[in-house]
Amino acid sequence: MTETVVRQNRIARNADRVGMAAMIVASVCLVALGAHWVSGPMVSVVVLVLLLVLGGVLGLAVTGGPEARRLLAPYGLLKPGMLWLALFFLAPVWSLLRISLSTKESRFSVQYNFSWAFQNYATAFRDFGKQFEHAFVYAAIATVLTILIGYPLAYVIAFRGGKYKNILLGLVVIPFFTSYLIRTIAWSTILADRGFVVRAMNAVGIGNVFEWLHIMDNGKLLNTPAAVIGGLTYNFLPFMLLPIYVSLEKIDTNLVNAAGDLYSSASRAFRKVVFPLSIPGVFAGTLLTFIPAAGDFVNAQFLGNPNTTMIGNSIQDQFLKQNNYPVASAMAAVLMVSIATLVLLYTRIFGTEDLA
Amino acid sequence: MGESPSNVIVLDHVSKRYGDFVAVHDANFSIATGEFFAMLGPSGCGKTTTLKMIAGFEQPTAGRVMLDGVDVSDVPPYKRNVNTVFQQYALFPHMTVFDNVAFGPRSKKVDESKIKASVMEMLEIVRLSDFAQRKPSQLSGGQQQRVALARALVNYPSALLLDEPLAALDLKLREAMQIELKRIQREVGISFIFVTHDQGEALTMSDRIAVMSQGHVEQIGTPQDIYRSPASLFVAGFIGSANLLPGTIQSHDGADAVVALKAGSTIRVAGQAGVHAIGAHVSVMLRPERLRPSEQVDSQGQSLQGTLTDLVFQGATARMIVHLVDGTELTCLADSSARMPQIAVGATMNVSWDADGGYILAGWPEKAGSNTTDIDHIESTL
Amino acid sequence: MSSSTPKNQMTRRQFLARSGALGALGLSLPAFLAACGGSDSSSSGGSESLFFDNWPLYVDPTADGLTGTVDRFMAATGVSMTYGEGYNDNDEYFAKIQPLLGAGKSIEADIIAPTFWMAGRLINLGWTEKLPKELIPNFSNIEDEYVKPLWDPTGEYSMPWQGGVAGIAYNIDVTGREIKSVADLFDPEFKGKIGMLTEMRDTIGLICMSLGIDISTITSFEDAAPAFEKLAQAKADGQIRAFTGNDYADDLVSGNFAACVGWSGDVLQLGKDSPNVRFVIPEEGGTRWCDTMILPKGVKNGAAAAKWMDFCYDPVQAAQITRYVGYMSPVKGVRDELAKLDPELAENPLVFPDDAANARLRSFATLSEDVEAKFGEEFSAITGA
Repeated sequence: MTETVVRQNRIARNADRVGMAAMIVASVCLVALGAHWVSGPMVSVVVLVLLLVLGGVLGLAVTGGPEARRLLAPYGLLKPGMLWLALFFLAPVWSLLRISLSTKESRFSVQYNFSWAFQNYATAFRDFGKQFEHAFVYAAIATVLTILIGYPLAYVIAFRGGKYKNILLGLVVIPFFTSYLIRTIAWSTILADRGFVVRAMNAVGIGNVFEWLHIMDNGKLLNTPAAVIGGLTYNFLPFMLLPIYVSLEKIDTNLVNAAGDLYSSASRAFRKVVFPLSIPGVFAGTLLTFIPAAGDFVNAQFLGNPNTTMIGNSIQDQFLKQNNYPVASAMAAVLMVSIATLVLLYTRIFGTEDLA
Repeated sequence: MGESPSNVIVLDHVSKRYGDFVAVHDANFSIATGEFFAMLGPSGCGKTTTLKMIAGFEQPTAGRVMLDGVDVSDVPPYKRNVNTVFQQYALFPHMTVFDNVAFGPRSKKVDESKIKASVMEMLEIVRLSDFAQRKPSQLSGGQQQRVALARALVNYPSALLLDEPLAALDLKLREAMQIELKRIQREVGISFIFVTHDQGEALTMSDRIAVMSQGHVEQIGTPQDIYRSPASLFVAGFIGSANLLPGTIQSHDGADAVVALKAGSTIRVAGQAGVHAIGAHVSVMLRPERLRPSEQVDSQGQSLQGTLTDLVFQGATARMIVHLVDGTELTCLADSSARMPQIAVGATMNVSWDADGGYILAGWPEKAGSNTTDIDHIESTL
Repeated sequence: MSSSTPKNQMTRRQFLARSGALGALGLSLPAFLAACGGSDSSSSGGSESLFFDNWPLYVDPTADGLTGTVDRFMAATGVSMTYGEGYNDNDEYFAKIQPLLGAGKSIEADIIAPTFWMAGRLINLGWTEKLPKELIPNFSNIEDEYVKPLWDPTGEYSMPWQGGVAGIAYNIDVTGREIKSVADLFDPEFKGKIGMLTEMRDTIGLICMSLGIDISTITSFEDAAPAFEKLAQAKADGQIRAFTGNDYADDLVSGNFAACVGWSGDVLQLGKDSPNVRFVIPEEGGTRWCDTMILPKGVKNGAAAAKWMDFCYDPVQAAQITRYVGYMSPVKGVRDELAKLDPELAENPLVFPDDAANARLRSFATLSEDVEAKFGEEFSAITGA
């Protein structure tokens, strides 16, 4: 009886470390399996280790008494997520990085030889600088546009929507129940040279203004940089609007009243109170918009021209058409790192942790 | 209703309608400079709407709001020299205490160096100098309340509007803040207009009270006036406890009015002769502390007989519930330090009072006898 | 024009472009195909079975009171055939089978339908089986040019399924004049209104021919370099609006394109609804392509596959396919059989080019691995992908 208690106490004391260690070992095992670190009979060994670790922790939890269970529970809850990430994120990223530094024997070889082949990165930078530039510039402009369009819309819905709030939000979201691809192709019909938009603009006579602004090119709206940016803006608008709406919706209208009461005009109240309090939403929306937009290839494919290609198109092409996995992987890695860096910088500059 | 310069705010026949609903009907009163003025009433009585019209968040549908002698009915809040302390304080969560307090002066583009001095001075007054760099979320409820006060007062408004400023605080803190508010008000000498549903709070703090009900101003007066001479049955019941005995004016005898109670007896009320016509339906209001319950027959003044049904010791006082013969319930408040005979529940009691202890009101109450304003009950209806 | 061809059906190559994009988005292609009335499988209880993975909408179905070729085949031979439509894109399909065939494993399909150049690549890689010609007596019906084609020099590995021509498609409402030459595609008058195909051999092929380069004898990148330069210059000048798959059809009809490189069969069908859309084999010549049938290495049901090939090379059967798909049949005698079914189509020069037209058509040479890689790289550098 007392022996059991002593044993349970000992388990409980170490449960923290055991749980953490088990999770790390299990994750490493999964990455090893997913990223092909091991082959042949070693695979069975790794699987065995994985099962032993998981079974062992389960056994500890069952026999270790309530205190041990309490301490192990968080790891138990974390584990599915960690293991999922290990298998479907860490392992693929590892493979990606590895292939990006590999060469292949011949064009159609499925064998990649890891050889610190940094020339793949050189190729990625040298041959695809323009596409990287397009990706980041278009995504950045589209992000700014989604803020300019999404913010006032979210503002009106949040503060003036009244009982129609949910309907208005629904109207914003419903178009996005349609396939991304179909929505984008639909834009190519709307913006067509003989489509009603171009005709209407020419009829009103603002076509020339748009030409001057470089939005239209030689009578075309479709297949211009503006069309690509417009497509990105349209497609990612909800990802900006919804977080902003949520952050605006949370703002107590009495704060606006208070600002007015304290001699602030409506515009100063907005600048000093409403906008600062909605920055977390803008921040989240920016990440949700910029990151996928920078990697997008659909809009450039259907709304762009050969001079507006984004890096996503190039990666897709290198992977699927050119069978050039090493260079494609290097491009993907560069894209990933660039976005991560930009996001980190952005977080540093605009990070708003004390607003939560 | 004069527009003398000593009146900082004048409501000139102000009404507010929302469609068919009348939120405020013909409010017509003024508030003097330096006055502590309470608007009291149950939820939905129109007191907050009236406050919002003074602040400028609402526009009256009829009448004028005058501030410092100028009609401001159509002036937006940010151009009115009044400030509001909101119910939940509405402090800006993303700013420090200092920045919150400095918000108003900065809106007015006051010189930054002057701002610093006046903000720190005001934080001194509300005793929060050490908290200038904190965020509101790091403060207690009472401290947030004082930040809200400082933020409003730093602008030296003509009047300070307070919307249930103590409702969010617990009882102890509320009592402390009542005293604190009074102190600050005396110190800055600005008119405070104070909205509350808590009659105790209003009685404690105010120079004058406006009692409101269903959009109407029932009575305006000092706490003593309103307590002693309520203008209506509603006011009598809402301010403190009142025993209301329905009856009919029988005659006027010298300074006394003679009332035949529905319960059967006839009583005299001193100093009320001629106020109500003979034959009018009236109620006699008897405050519980004016009643003298006793097992002996008291030859002095007026008296009624009944049975003691409940006795609650409350420290300095004891509360007795006496049921009269016809079933009417009376509440009496007796000094517990005085000779407290060993009275048992069920004893026959003689409840007596001085003839000038009663007060006659027009009309009959919904419920005869004891009408106690129960704060908890009122709050639960909010 | 064939009356049994539904008017608004997607053409085979049109379908290609759309589904390629869908596939790239990771949408379920099999589900999409199933929804399009996809694969035709049944088990007649015969001992033999067969799986043909072909391009979508590329064989006559059992519909409108007609029995489809697949069903006729099963009834005639007792072979239990699965007809798949999983071949949507040469590169994509290659990416799918590469890890298996490259590692010496066999794939599920018994017959696949790569375009000639992809067939050439697979043959070069040694990933195909020889055809059991002794089991295909109708092989003798094959058109002469396909007996030993460039991509299959010994003629042992492939049989064409259907063929076609790439030339210039144009919308006369936009051009305002007839287009005759590849040079018109580079006319500044049409700046930003010109489409090119992402199919490198057709785009580069046509430009090469306009420059007097014989594409059937190309062996190195240098041979075709002038064409690449010309294309790159046009792209830089903004002459080219887009490089498309078969979405060119929409752009052409809507007038976004004045002219583009296009495929005969598509334009033939488009012309029915949009008479302003026309197709021309350029004066300098057009490119010829075909899709083939090959047996992947390690094929399981080679004998049944041979039966199918034999069946389809019977002109009576082949004519039924031609009537539905509207492409050029590689089977001799189809024209006479088709004349009985659809005399108008039998006279169409885009389905049955005359000798003069034939003389202007060339097929792209089969390139060695490195050269093909170089072509691909350079082409993709221009298309911007």
